[in-house]
Amino acid sequence: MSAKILLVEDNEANRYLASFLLENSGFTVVHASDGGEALVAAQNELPDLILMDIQMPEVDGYEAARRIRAEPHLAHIPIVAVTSYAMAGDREKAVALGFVGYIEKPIVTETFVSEITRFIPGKAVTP
Amino acid sequence: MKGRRPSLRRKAGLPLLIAAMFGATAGMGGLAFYYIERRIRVIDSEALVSGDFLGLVGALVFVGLVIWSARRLQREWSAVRHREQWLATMLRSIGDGLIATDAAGRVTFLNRCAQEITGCDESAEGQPLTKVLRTLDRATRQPTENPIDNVIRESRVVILADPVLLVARDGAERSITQSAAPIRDDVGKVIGVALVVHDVTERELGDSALRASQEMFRLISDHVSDLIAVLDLEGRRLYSSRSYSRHFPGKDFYLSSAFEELHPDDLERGRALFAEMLRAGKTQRDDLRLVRPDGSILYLESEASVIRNPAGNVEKILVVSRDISERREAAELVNRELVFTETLVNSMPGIFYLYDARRKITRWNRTFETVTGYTAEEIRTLDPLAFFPKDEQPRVHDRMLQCFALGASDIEVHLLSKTGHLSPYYVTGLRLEIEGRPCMLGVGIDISARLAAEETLRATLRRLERQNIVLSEQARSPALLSGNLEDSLRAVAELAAETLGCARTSIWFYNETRTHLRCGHLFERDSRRHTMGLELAATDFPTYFDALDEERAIAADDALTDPRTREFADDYLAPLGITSMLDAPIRAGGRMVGVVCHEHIGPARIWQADEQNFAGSVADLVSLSLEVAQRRQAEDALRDAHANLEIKVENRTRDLAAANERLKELDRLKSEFLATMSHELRTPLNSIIGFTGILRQGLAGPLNEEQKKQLGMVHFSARHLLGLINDLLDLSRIESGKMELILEDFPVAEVVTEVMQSLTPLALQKGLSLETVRRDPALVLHSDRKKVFQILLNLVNNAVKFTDEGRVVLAISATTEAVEFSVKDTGIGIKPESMAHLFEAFRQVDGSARRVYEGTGLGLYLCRQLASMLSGSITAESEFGHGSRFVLTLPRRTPKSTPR
Repeated sequence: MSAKILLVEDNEANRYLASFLLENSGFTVVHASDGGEALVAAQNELPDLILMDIQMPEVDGYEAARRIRAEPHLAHIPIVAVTSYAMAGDREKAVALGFVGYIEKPIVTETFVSEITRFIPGKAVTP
Repeated sequence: MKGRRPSLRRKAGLPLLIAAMFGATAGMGGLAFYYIERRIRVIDSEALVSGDFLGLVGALVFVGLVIWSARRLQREWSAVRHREQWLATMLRSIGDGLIATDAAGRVTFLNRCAQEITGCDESAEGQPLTKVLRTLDRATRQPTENPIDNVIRESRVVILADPVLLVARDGAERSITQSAAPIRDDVGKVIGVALVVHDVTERELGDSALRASQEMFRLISDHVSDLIAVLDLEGRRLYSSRSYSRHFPGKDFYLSSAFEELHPDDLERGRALFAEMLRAGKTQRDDLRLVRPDGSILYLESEASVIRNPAGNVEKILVVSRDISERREAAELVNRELVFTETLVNSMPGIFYLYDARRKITRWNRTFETVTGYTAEEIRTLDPLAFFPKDEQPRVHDRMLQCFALGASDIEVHLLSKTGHLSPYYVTGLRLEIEGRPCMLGVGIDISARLAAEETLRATLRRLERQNIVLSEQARSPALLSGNLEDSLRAVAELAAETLGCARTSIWFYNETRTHLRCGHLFERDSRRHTMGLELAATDFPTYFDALDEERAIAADDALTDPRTREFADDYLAPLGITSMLDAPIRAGGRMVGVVCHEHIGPARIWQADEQNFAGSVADLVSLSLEVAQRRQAEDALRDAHANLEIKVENRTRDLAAANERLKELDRLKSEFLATMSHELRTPLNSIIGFTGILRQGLAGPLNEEQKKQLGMVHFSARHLLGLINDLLDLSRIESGKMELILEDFPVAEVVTEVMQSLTPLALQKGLSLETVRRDPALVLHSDRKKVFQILLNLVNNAVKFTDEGRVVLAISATTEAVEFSVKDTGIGIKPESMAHLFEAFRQVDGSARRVYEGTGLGLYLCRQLASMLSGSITAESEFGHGSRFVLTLPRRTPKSTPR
């Protein structure tokens, strides 16, 4: 059974790019386009990993991550930040909020899948 | 005695003896002459007194006697040949001792005198002479030589003139002189000696008495202070006592004229005295003066007496003078004191009188006569109490009694003159004893001036007290302190007029050009009217204005005639009846600003010093009022200004705060904009780069070579655009101080590997060799990993970019302190003139290269800024056309807070 990844990304093109790469490697991908949707999707789908964009309208990635962490049955899901918001202190802030990883945009298509695979708990890489 | 004569005759023969006697006597005569001659010399050179005459007379008598004896002897000698007995008797009776010896020195004969002198009788004949005539030296008392040995040996006469001591058989001592002559026989052979012994004891006694007398005279004359002189008949000094040299030191008086030192005024009198004395032959006395060498006067009481010689003729003059200078001076002093006292008493400004216990006035001074107006005769008859008014007499009487009882007293009393005029006097009484009787001495001084002065002083003090009270009250008055100038002037004018008791007091101020005085206030005491506003023009009263310019008070006792104020006389002073003016200048801020005028109506008034001072103080009060008023104005102005300033500061602060807020907002907006732009620019780039990556990987399907090539170009361009955006972001962060460091330990090798991996594809593509040297896997750096990577990537990327063939070498070397990254290429190099601008922003070294080598021009600038943030540095060296070498030096540990 392939791992289910929740991809939270407001930009449609980028969402499609990441989905293409992940699905191409055999992962099940569910989408959310903002923080609010991300919480709902996480509750509904219970994904194995969440890839969270930070800079989003309405509820941003940090807030969404905080809310997910606040849900007891969701708190265990690893969240990886995927962001072009590379201002000083972002990485520290992400770690402090419980993100397990931090991937900078633009993603490198050759290495993207292998990078996120190591954050999926107990799952072998099944491309 | 008679029985002895034949033996003498037997042995020597009488003629021989007589011859010998004659020789001896002649010797004695010579001796006597010698003595007389010497005595005369003594008399000539020393003082001549009566004792000398005795000596001389004695000597002459002696000589006469000797001559007479010798002649007689001579006469006798011829007779003796026939009358031996008579001669022998004569021999025996002569006054000198005569001793004859034989040739062996044995005594053959002694006459009576010799027997008396030696104490031997005729039994001594036949004995040696030395037994009979024992002589001693007078000084040493040693036996002296016997003269007869010499006589016998040398056969001549020997005379021993110096007296020796003859010790008689009975021990008595006499002074004798001796002479001895040989006795010869018929053929001239010496058969004996005739010795004549002359007793000089008596004569010596006479001599010593004379000497003692002379000594005593000299002693007396030398030690008395009297001046003693012996003059010859011409008045020349033969002798002068030592006391002369006390007054005329060093002077030789011998034969000097006794008139030489006489005071010129006394010369005539002195000569007359001398002449009279000689004429009358009697002692004369007079007071004479001598002039000492230093010009001082020596007062003498002189007594001149004649000295007569034994014949009774006047030979010399004795002058004895007593120094009476002290007596004279004392007398003169007393006289001067008397004159002084008399003058003093009469010149005393006060009165002086003396009366005795019977109240009889005996002495008084001239002032007493003047003050009382009585004549001397009247004063003598008046009772002392008569000089005082009736009502004061009991008081005076009391004091009089008190003075006689206690010795002293004093009283302030009026002296009553003959005309009835009263003068206040202060009289002190003193009891005196005069000739054993108590007297009272009264001395008094006129105290009317003192009493008047005291009254004036009391009046002045009263005024001063009042002035002080007024001034101190006014200085503290509310009118003055209020700062209201009009109130102050009103109060000052009123109090000044009241205190000085003058009719009008006015206060005037200059206008700005000092051409006018304007009346700030005028107070008229009688009507109690306060007015102001009059004006005086300098052109109308030039003298007064000039006087004011002196800046001193004008005290015009008679204002109508005083040159400074008479300009006002006709139009102003006379109509108002003003007679006296006292004007004091007002000074403020170091210059005169006006004047305070006090005007007196009525009889002309003399402004007292204290009143002038008071006027000055009033002027000071006015200037104080001015200052208070000005200060009050200034304080008000300051308070307003202060209030305005506070409002302004408040507004400004508010403006600044708002501006600051706006700036903060702008800064926030800028940061937000940057973040947004970063995001908004990157998001599409992410897609572009991502999708080209997928396509080039063939994940979306197979591509032909041309498609792959073109997608590669898209990918490269997108990457370049991303690089530009990142560089701009970094630049922005650095310049706004928002670039933060993330310091951690990391292996250098890892970063180097990442750099190599990133650039190897490009190097391969260009056919370049990309090498690393000394990749020490253990080397760890504590720094910002991402920034080290960024710098190295930039440097190596540049090297690859600007090298077309050859190789690029990244060499790492480390010390304990630092790590050095050297990036060396074999590229085009850098022109020397471009080196200076290498690390500046937006520059690419070669303008022409811009078209060949792409880049933002920010790379090296950012590298240097980042290296600096990491406490490191970047240097560059290059040989144009042959390649370049960039060296990044970083500390092993970058400190936390890094200077920018």
